[in-house]
Amino acid sequence: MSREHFLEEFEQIYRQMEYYYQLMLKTSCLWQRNYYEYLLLNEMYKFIQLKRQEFVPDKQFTLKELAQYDGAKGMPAYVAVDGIVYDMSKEPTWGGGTHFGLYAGKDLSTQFAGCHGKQEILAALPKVGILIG
Amino acid sequence: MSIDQMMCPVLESKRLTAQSIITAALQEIKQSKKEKMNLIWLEATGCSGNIISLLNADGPDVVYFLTDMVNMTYENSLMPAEGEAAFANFLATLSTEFILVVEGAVGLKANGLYTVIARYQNKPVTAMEAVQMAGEKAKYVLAVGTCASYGGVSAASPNPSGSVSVGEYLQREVINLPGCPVHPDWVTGTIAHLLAFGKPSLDQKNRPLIFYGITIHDQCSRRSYFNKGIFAEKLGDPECMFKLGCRGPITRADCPTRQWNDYVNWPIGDNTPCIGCVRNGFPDGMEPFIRY
Repeated sequence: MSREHFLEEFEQIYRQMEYYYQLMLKTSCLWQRNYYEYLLLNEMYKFIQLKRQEFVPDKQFTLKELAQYDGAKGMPAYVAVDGIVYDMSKEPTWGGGTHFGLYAGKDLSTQFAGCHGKQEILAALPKVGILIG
Repeated sequence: MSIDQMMCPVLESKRLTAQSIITAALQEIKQSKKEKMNLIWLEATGCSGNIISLLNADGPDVVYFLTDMVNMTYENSLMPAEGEAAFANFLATLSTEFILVVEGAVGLKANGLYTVIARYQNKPVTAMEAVQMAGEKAKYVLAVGTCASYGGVSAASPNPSGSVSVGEYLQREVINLPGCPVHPDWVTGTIAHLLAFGKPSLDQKNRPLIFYGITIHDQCSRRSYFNKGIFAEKLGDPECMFKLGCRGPITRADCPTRQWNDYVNWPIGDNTPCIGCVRNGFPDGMEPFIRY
């Protein structure tokens, strides 16, 4: 799911919620009012579902493309772990695009699992895309 | 009578309490003047850079350290005795109360023959043996320098001497004072704390928190550049050297504030990034030192 797509869907839900809310205020019939309230709540649940989805940008990287982003010569430092590409450029432990003998621009899933294996670390890192082939 | 003379004796005594404690403490120290504690300094499998660093000590200097703080009975580079007489000093100290300082890692291969520190009764004495002999008996063991604390350069790949850290070899509590070399203040400061107040508070890697509590990154003079994302592109640029491979964010030491060589400068102040020499993982894990 790309950032633009996410924002589009969010905006759509918000517009619907506004619409139902206005209708809710304007009707005098209580059943109608109830009905609009129900629709409004539905939109809210849709929004919660949307937020829960793994927000990963659409950009796709092949291993060869990823290799360019090794942190050298001013390039950003990208690392792939378990299919998702993360941006380590500002990560304090990745000075100069390197981390305890490992270089950025690679798929480091095995090394990560062998040393950290903690999902909390991954959740906090900025994502830039997914790794394909 | 004036107000001053009518002062309540209880209040008066409170004013003098701190002073009387200090006076009593000083008297106590002078009267029960214990012998200075003995100290053995072993140069094991390393470069002996840490004893050189100690000689650079400034506040206090090494003369004060040797005359007023400890009684250094054995040290390969500084002691006047030679040969068997020198090693006899070492053996004699073992039956007293002493602090053991080990610099350099412990080379295990070939039964420790990669480092022979003495020849006693026609047999070579390896560093491994000496560390074992002294380590069993010492009141405190200090692993000074990154090699002694973590293996360091001596244990760098492919580790031909089979070097390990002192803590790993001795399997007893060892206070680690890493650094390549260690800052003389970290040594004299820790020993002073040991002599006056006992063991200082240590972190999980057995390093005194007073010197190794905060990362270099958190006290760096170029930190505001890092925060704003303004990075140096080559050596010589005045901005943050993070993109050039600075290891400040992962290294715990007080280099930015204490500084080196009589407190005049430190790597970042001298326009070169930190290479994490105080860390475990130095040097292999800290490479490359420069990334262009």
